[in-house]
This record gives sequence, C-alpha cells and structure tokens, in this order.
Amino acid sequence: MSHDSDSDSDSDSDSDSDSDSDSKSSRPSRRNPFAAKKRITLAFKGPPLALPGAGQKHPSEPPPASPPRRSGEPVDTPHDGWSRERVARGSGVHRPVTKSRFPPPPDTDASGPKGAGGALDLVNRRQPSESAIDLSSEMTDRFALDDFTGALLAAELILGRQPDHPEAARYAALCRVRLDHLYSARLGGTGAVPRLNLPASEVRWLGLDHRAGFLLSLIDGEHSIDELLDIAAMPRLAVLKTLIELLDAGTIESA
Amino acid sequence: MEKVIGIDLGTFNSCVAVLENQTPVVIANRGGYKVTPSMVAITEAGKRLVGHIAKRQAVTNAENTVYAAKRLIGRKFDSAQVKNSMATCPYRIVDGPHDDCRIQLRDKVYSIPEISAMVLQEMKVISEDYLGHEIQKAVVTVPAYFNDGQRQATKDAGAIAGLDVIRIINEPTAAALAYGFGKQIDRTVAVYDLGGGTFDISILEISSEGVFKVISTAGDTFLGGEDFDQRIIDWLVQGFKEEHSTDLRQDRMALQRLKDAAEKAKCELSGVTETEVNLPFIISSTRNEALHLQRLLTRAQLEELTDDLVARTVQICEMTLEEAGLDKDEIEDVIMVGGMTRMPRVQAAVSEFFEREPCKGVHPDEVVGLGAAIQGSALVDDSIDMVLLDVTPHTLGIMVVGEYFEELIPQNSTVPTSRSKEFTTVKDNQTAVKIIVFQGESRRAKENELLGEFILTGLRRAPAGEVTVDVTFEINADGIVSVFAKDLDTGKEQSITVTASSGLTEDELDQMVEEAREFAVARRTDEGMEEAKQQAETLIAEIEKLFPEVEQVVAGSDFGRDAITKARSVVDATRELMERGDAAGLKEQIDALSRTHRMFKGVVGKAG
Repeated sequence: MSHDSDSDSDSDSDSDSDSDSDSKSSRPSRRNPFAAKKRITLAFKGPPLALPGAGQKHPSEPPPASPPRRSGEPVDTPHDGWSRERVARGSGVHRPVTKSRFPPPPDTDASGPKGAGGALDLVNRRQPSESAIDLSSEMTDRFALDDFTGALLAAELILGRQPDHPEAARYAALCRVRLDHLYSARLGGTGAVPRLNLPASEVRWLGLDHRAGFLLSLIDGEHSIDELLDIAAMPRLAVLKTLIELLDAGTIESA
Repeated sequence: MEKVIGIDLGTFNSCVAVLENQTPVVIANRGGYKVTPSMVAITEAGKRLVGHIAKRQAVTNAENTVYAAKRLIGRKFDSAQVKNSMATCPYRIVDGPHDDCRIQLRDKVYSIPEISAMVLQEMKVISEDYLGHEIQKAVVTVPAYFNDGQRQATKDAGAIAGLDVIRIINEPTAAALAYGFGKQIDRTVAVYDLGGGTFDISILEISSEGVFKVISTAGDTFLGGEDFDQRIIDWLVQGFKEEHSTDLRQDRMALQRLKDAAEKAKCELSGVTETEVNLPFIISSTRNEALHLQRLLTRAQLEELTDDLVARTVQICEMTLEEAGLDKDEIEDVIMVGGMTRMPRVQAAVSEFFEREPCKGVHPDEVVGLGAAIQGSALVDDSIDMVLLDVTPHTLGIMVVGEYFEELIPQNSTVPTSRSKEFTTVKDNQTAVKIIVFQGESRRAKENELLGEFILTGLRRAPAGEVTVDVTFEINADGIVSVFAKDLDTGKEQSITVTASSGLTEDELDQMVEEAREFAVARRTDEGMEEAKQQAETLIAEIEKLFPEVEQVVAGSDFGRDAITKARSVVDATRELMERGDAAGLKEQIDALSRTHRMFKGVVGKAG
C-alpha cells in the first residue's frame, strides 16, 4: 500500500496511545513482551479506529478544533498569515488544516453487511462530513498565501481522489517548483557540497529516521546536493527537506 | 608526440595511465581516486551516472545500474556466461538482434560495447582533464582468455567512446610489462589477479629482449572482491536479525549502506586487525523505532568467513601450473594484481602455495593500467625499445570429417604466426571442400566458436584421399586471422579473412559513435552550465536571505519598492534560465545578480 510517512507516524502514535491507556485495566496481556512483539500495526490512511463507545463521541462530530501542531504548519494564533487572511476576509471562521481532515472517503459498499459492526463501518461513522472542507479552495488559498507545503498537500489529496484533476495537477507542479526553489536557496544551491558537522560517532544520538540516516550516510563531503538527489532514491523534495532539517539541526553544513 | 593512454578496463574497476617523462603514471579522477568503478546507471530523471556515483546508488537503483558488463561483452545471448549473469544480475539482459545480448536500462536498450564505452569515455575525460588536451589513442587491456569477438567488441567500445584503440593487450601481459619495465630480466612469473569480480592466474615468460609470452592462463569470472563483501554482508545481516528480528535485506537503503560498509570494513582489515561497522538509523522497526547496526569485525573473523574463496584461487593456480607443465619452483616471481591481493590472508595463501613471497614492487590496482600506458607509448615512440609478443588466446583450426576439430594453431602461440597442414578428400570424385574455421579447445568442432567458412571448388576428380589440399592459417600482429586453402594439384586457391564480430553492424556502430559524440559535447556544455548554476544559486541564496532586511529598510519608499521588484524579477529571470538550461544566458544574468547582491548588501550595511 502506498502511503506517506506522516500518515504512518500518525497511525502509529494513535495505536501507541491506545495501548498506554488500555494497558492497566482492559488488556493486561499487552505487558507480555511476546505479545507486544506480535502486535501488528496496520498502515491506515484515514481517521483512527476506535472501540465501540470509546470517547462517547457522536460519529458525525467534527474533529477537535485544535489538532496537534506540527512544526512548520500554520497554527491558529492570530498573528500567522493564514488567520490574518481569514480575518481580513471577514469570515472569522478558522478551519485548521491537518492531514487527518483529508481522508479519502472509504468505500462504504466494501464494509460488509449493514449493521455487522465491522471496522470499516466504524470508520464511516467517524468520517468527517464532505462539506467540512473544500480542498480546491484550500489549495488555492494556501498557494496565494505562499504556503506551498499546504497547497501541495491539498493538491495531492485531490489527485488521490481524482488523478486527472487538471487544476490540482497544475498546482501540485507549481508548488513543487516553488518549494524546490525555496529549499534549494536555503541550502545555498544544489551545487553546494554538504558535509557532516559532527563526529560520526555522535550521529546515533540524533533523532533521525532511517531515511534521514540513509541520506546522512551518503554525505561524504564529496557529493554535491545535485548528486545526492541523483543517488538518494527518494523524492527530490523529500531529500531537500531532509537536508534542510539536518542543516537546521546543525548536523551538516553546506558549502 | 601524441599521447597514448593505457586503460585497464576492469570488470568492477577501471584505471587510466599515461607515460610522462618516461615514467608511467596513473591519473586520478575528479574525486582523487586512482580507480573508477566500471559502473553505469541511468537515474529516474534519465541522467547517466558513471563511476563512484553510480556505485553509491547501485543497490537502491539496482535494475538500472550495470556492473560487470565485461562478463557479457562479445558473448552470444544463449551462452552459459550470459545465462549465469542473467541469473545473478539485477539489471535486465535482453536478446540482441544479432544473437548478441543487450541491456535494458529504463526505456532504452543498450549494446554491451555501448555500456563499456560509457566507462571508457569517463576514462578519456579523466585523462583529458589531467593532460589538458584531447586524447584520441588508447591501448586497452582484456583478459588473456578473451576470444576475437570479445576483443573486437572491446575495440568497438573504444570507437564509440571516441578512442582509437591502437592495440588490445592481455591484462597479465600488461602487468608483466609494468613489472619488467626498465629492467633487463629473464624470468618466468605468475600473475595472480584477484579483482572486484574476477580471478585470473597467468604464467608468463619475460625475456631480457623485452619479449613477454603468456604460457598459460585460467581463472574464474565469478570470483572476486564482491564475493568477500557478500560474506561480510551476510554476517552482518544474520547478526542483526538475531538481535532485532529484522531482515535488513528487505530494505534497499539499508542494503546499500551495508554494501558500502562491508567493502570499507574489508579494506580496513587489510591494515588493522579489527574494525567497527557502525550504521546508525539503518532501519526503522515496525514500531517506528530507529535501529542501529554496530558490530566489531576482526581480521580473523573475515578470514574465517572467506577461507573457501581464497582456497578456490589456490586450486585454480595449481591447475594452471599443471597445464603449463611447470613446477612451483620454476616460478621465479609472483606479481599480485587487483585490490583483493592486499588482504593479508590472500598474500599468505599465495606465498604458501608458490613457496615464495610475492613481489611487492608493483601497485596491485595500477599495474595493469601502467603496463597498458607503457605499451601505448612504445607503439608511437620509437625510442622505447620494447617488443611485445602477444599470444593467441585460443586454439585455431578447421572442422574435419566426423565433425571433429583439427588444430592448426595451438593456444598460446606467439603472434604473428603462420601454420600449414595438408588434408585430403574423403569421397571419390569430390570437386569441392568446405573449410569451416573454428576457435576453441573442444575436440568437437561445433562446441567451439565458429569464425567463418568458405568453399574451395574446382578440385581434380580423383578417388578419395588422392587430392591434397593445403590449408594455411595466418595471424598478423593485430590478431587478424586469414585462412588459405590450396589444391596442390591444380594450384587453385581460395581464402578468407576472419573479421571478428562484436555483435554490432557498421551502421549500428556509426550511430552509437555519433550518439556518444553528442553526449560528450552535451556533457561539456552541462559542466559549464553547472558551474554557472552553482554561482547563480549561491547569489540567489544570499539575495533571498537579504530580502526581509532590505524590505524593512526601504519600507515606505517608492524607490525602494521599485528596487525590490527589480531584484525579484532578476532572481525570477535567473531561475527561468536555470530551468531552461540556457548556459550562455545564465552567465550573462550572473552579472545582474551580482549587482543586485552588491546593492542589497550596501542597503543593509548602511542601515546597520
């Protein structure tokens, strides 16, 4: 199944928190290390699954107004560009944007017989209503506000539903170009040669994932960013973004 | 005098050398390395990568990275060697239009000479960068067992790369040339060549007159440094699996890192007795935890892991000596070739077998390239007094009744050479004979390689066995074989010149030469573009950093706003030129960019 790393980590963190809350009372067996090893985390693109009755929320209830913030994403403080724009337009309605609000609608026909109480049935009831957000306007608005990451995300979600959507394809391409420019400029150009900025023995104490670890292993002070892009076997923007993160963390320097 | 470069076109690594002031020197590539991996890759964006950079992505882009193309060059698609490569290589080997094999990378099919040409072109560029002028002539080395087709395919690869390959010489011969260069020696030597992917052992006679003769040669085309690396990888993978229940082979990024680390550890263990393999964040667990690989590998462990590989090379040495009819004590020196011979266990095994310390006077990675450079210079410089006698790699002969192979020129005969033999008719009143020329060592003619055939007609009508036909084989210094058949009664004669085929037609070759030439021109242009792009990107990055400060300083001023708008348009125009790949336009635009940068710095400076 194809899914991005963010949705991976979201679903994992959800399942971890479930595990923590349940461990004391309802599922003592989870303390068993063998049981923990056998646990399977399902990669799932959509809202988290919940036990029947958990949280006592109505299925159609919208998600919380303040989703967990992620660095680099717009937040609902009045001083960010997104809120200012909303205020300026007089809508006054804040619609926080998180990835979990853009799940593709599950195929309701595939959920088995009605009332069977299957997992997909629960997903349907938890699904935010279609009218909660207009992806097209989200995409164009974010693009207008130079939030190319958000606009690209919205465009990709539209393309996930409608692969031939011309407007989304155009915006996605534009966003990629703009992000490419921004990231490249941050790195001092793709001709720059990044170098490790700390002893190799200290690398393991950094909070990296295996992709960043792989990219870091390619940095030898000889290959330019252009060359890294050729050999990294990762999407171009993902490489540039990871390099910026490494640069910001002081792990590498670019010359 | 025109410079001739010597190229050791290896299965896994290549090396280029040139003779300077009567001293052969190896030329380092841009990264400062004296050997360049013989690897070619095509990226997702369609970019061609050659050498170290191709190697760094060989696992993550395995289907589109070619290595060991030399194992396939000049071979038929249905040959055992090709089948073996198909079973072991991740890239796609396809059937060519002339029974040859080809390689599909992305959406294009390449002939093997084309792939080898990419490596040769890289070696050409390395030498041109070093020497500062264009290079046209080269001597290229090949294994001693290469047949005419393989040699011709190597020559074609040179032509595609824009090189005139003035001589193809055997690798052990080149090694012996470098070993004996400037010395007056009469010796029988063994050349033990354990490279990245192949093992060869050759016995040579070197005479004080400068004659180098290969007496015997053998090897294993699927035994080399790569197998040693693989043993380390297997050991690391197994250990990690036991510790974390995670199979690193399932992740290409992890596998690429393992491959690089295994090779590094192997090289380090030639100098030290233990080394740490440290690969942080090698993989993420199913619980999204980053896992690290950290293991200590000792030299003793490595030797234990690879003991059978070393033993195999010794076994082949034994067989080769037997074939040459020589005893160990008749070998007066052992020349070690290939990076793997740095491994202490390999050196110990060789000294143990030959009962003498191997020669330490030659560089294992460079010796073949240096020998090729020496030979190249000798061919254009009369002042270098050196005669190099090459030998036929395989037996040459014709098919006789019963489909048997009748030998005319035995294997390892020094060329140029000529041999004749008389044959008779097998049927009464036979007026024609078919001369079918083969190359190989099998008694059954059809198991050997067919080189060509012709018919001699107009024989005298006579009972079987009464008509005598004289067949002569001639091989000139360039290795071109001519076969003559003459009816001794009538004096009628017929002949054929065997032109080795590389599997490419003239038209195909011409087209490939043209494409490679265009690529070379585009590459030079790209380099200019790259330089300008780098300069522009640096300036853009500086300007982008200054924008907020400048905007703050000039806020409220119309003039300032104009300046910012103009600066924005300069930056945008530069980016457009970069996207279009307009090198000339970009170079001009850099002036405007520099002015903007100076102005911005001035504005910020004044404000500060």
